[in-house]
Amino acid sequence: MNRFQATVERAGYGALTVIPHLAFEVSGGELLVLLGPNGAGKTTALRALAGTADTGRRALRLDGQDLSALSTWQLAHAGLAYVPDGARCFATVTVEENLRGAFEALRPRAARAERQRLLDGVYELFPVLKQRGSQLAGSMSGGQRQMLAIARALMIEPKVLMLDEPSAGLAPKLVEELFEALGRIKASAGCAIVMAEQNFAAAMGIADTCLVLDEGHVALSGPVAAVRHDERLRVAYLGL
Amino acid sequence: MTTAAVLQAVILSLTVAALYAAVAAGLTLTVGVTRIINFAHGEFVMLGAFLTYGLHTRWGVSPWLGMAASGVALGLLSALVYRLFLARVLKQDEHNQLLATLGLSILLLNIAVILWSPDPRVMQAPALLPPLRLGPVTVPGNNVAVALVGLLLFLAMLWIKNHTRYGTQMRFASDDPELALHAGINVDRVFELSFVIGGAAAGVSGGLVALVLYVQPSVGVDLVIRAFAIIALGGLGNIPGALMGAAILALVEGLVSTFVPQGGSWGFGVAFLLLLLVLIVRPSGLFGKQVQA
Repeated sequence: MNRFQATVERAGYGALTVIPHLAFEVSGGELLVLLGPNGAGKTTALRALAGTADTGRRALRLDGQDLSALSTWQLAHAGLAYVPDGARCFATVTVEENLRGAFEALRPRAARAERQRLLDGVYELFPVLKQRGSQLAGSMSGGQRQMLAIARALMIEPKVLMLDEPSAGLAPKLVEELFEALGRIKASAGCAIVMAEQNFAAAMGIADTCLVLDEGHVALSGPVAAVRHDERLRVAYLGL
Repeated sequence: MTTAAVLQAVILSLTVAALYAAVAAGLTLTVGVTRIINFAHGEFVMLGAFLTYGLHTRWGVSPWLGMAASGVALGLLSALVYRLFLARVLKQDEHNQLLATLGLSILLLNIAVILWSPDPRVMQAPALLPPLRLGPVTVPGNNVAVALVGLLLFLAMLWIKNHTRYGTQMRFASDDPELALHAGINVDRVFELSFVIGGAAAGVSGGLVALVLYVQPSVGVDLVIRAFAIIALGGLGNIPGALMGAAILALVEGLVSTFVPQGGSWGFGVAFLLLLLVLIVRPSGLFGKQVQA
């Protein structure tokens, strides 16, 4: 279930190609981490999937269903939730409206009980969001905004959850909390997770498979257990 | 000057304020959501005024019906303008958008001059409502109608933005259009919708113009400048702020015109002097949020 297969070719911006070729598969309950240093192409890879970077070719399949032709907003309707980097939220509306609006954008006619069930779920995962419900999203700290960004994605009950550097700019203790929550999402939400991350020590704790990018090329990929001791990981990261 | 005269001037100014507020509310919905500074909004109002005037003078159509027809017609025209024209400049530089809507404004104004001549005219409509007596003050029935419809339009814009599903999508799309796409919102449709709603409000406002002002091709220019002033006073995208802005502008203008000798030509100027002062002291508007870095 929720088997997601993706191939992108010549992903980049206009004439600039950042990633010549990238392909991967991930299933529900699994977490694939895209590792690599700054500038390796992690964000571009995710943007290419979500349709906000240019691609020569993009092929997306979800449980055999072809999603290749869908635009960014249509992908959300197909069950792909994307959390961009920088803990982006709708800053000028309240925390609760961020969550409610995300649900209503996809399911305008759904019953209130359904919305409440999902709200309760994300509030249980991130209790601080419940306390801040009536506060403007933009007035929260970076860590809280990141939680809101993830909660917003969960409000659509995604089949695939794509996260771009959720740990960026957060204090180590918050990173730990956040990854603990991601671990719980992985175990219970049933979605396939694709996450770009620089902080590999933290990411390795919850990832199943791993894909290391080095200047846009796939340097290394495979199960985390195999990759973590591979000499090439260090080369890609440190250029040694 | 007597108390009654002052009261009369204040109350008549407030009915005009409702008209200004209605024009500004439509504009602030569009500008606040799409960030397109739509200069042609004034010409949409002008077209609504001519439509209501024409329907009444030629076929005796009630101005109530004329207003509604103008709303529908200008909503449709807005959809056309958005699709054929604005959607193409939306992704471009802001200067291009500004030039595009300014060009459209000039085009529509001149078409109106060619079709109907620049002469001002008055719609000889029977009063839509009975006059309202408030102590020593009598408010003509058409001014009562303008105040009511203007306020209703204004509240409708506020309600759409804050209490409907589409309103939430509009606020998301204006806050962060790219993030709105990721949230599954068809941002282009939402922009079009806000433009159509703003255009329909302009059409109905045009009907109000026909009731209390001269109907002429340049009427939109005067109104859109006031609307921008009101939006600046209230804070961009802040619809309740626009109401206060409209009241302040109309009161200052009305009182100066009535009580300053030869003030008729001064009212507009003094109102803009006020705007200038506000912008110097509070660049984000009287009621706008102070933007934090």
